[in-house]
Amino acid sequence: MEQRLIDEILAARSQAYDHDRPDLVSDRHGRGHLTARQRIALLVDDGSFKEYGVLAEGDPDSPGAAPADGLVGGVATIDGQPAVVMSYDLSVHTGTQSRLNTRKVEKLIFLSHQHRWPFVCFAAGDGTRTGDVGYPGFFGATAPFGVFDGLAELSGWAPTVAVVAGPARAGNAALALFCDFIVATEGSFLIAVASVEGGGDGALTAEQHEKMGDVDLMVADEAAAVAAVRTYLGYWSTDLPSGPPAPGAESIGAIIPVNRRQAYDVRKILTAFADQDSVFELRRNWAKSLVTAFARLEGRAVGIFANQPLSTIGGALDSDASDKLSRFVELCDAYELPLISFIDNPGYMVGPEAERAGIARHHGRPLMALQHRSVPLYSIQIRKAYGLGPFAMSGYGANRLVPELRLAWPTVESGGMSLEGAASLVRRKEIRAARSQEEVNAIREDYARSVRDLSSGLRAGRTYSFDDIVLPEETRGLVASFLRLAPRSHPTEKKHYVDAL
Amino acid sequence: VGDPVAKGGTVLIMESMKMEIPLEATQDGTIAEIRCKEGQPVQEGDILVVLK
Repeated sequence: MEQRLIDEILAARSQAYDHDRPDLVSDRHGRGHLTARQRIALLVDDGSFKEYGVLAEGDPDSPGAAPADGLVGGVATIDGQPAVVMSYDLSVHTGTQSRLNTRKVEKLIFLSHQHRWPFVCFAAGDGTRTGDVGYPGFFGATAPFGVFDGLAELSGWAPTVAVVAGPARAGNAALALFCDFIVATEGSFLIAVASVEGGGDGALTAEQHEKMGDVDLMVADEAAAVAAVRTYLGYWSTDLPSGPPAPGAESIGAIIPVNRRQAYDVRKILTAFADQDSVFELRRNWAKSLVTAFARLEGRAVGIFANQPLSTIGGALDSDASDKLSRFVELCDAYELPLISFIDNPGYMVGPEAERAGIARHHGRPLMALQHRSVPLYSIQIRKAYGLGPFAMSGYGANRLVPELRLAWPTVESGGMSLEGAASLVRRKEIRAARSQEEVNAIREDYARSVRDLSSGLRAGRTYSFDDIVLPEETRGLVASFLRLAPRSHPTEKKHYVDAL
Repeated sequence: VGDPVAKGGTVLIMESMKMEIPLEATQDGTIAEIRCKEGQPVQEGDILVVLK
């Protein structure tokens, strides 16, 4: 072979690498960011990255001007598991999407779809590249679908993850928002539907998007984002043979205050229940009355959702919490993660304000999602089981999709409405006759105390309202033993897509 | 006012949905100002207590 042919390939390849681009590296670092290649190197196992299209350039008449045409992508392993990874290069035409680099993305989505490999993208960039030459390649389109129909195909089939580190405009933001899991770094922003006239004005910060539920997790920088992606993918790919209990697992019951009206932080319950340091919370700063997290139980990866009594609405389900719950159930079901729910729920939010926020339309979604799951569900009733709320947390009625195991702790109180609410009806004559609010409260509390025992754990067990009433410290071992009886299944067909909501 | 509080300590108790919800200090400090009265309805985002 003629040496010149070899040398020109090696030289062009080298031009695309960071060591031949010292200006780029110092510029990215000066902005507190990593280069596209450094991000990927940090994420994947050493030496495992196999790149697609390193020589591709949108404008072949200016060699070296746009290395890899602004998109570094390929196949690698992450903690030993295969994955597809890609990053736009913010130093090449500000990370824009060109016709050529979009063909690379399409190819990578095809690989992810074909092998069910997780798809991980660093999505920041400026959207469609203006003045794109769009040089026609010899093979034309190289994948059976484009970017967005491809991502829609991946949804519920292969886990999709986006990291937003920097500005993500238009198509770049949309790419991220099509993914199952979005982690963003501080100072980033997203604008999904960019107006040409506005020049991209209207972008919200990633922190603002997080409070709206669009971003699953905010982290300080790209290194933390990469760590989060690896943790996230671990739940999908790997069940461990065992896992240590958390410190404090034995005293989990002490988290529940003796005073039944005193709130507590349900995150402490999750932390004490799951394996040590295994709780990974999603959408923490949105719909705060419901906590959603991945975790491990004696090594097995699970999804946990729990009412948060400490929230300003006392763990009730509003429209946002209904969406958060439904989407989490759909996500875990699509990828075969068993579900565990901790229930302490005064019901759905009611009243004109809740109605205006769309509770009528949103409240059915959790019931739908739970009905259509096929992964096992284990529910643990901590305290309140009032109204329709508990069904939203564990499924409705006496059909085949009630929880495999519906447990309650001795602190359970159940009924069609709260004890205080029931007092308002049962003792309404006395309450009407009361002369002060203090007197009303006293009547309600007296009634609640008198019927408290009728809705107690022992009573709930005797009436077989639950499969068993267990002590908090017995719960972890019991649920773990059920999980061992139900090993993870691997459906050969997609169950359903995961709604972006 | 003037009392010291430790991070995680209960500063006041809000009542919502018939629940008593403790409001915890996000950092160590002393109470500089109390901007609410007992039994007063409050909105999300209101400043109730100022620490310094």
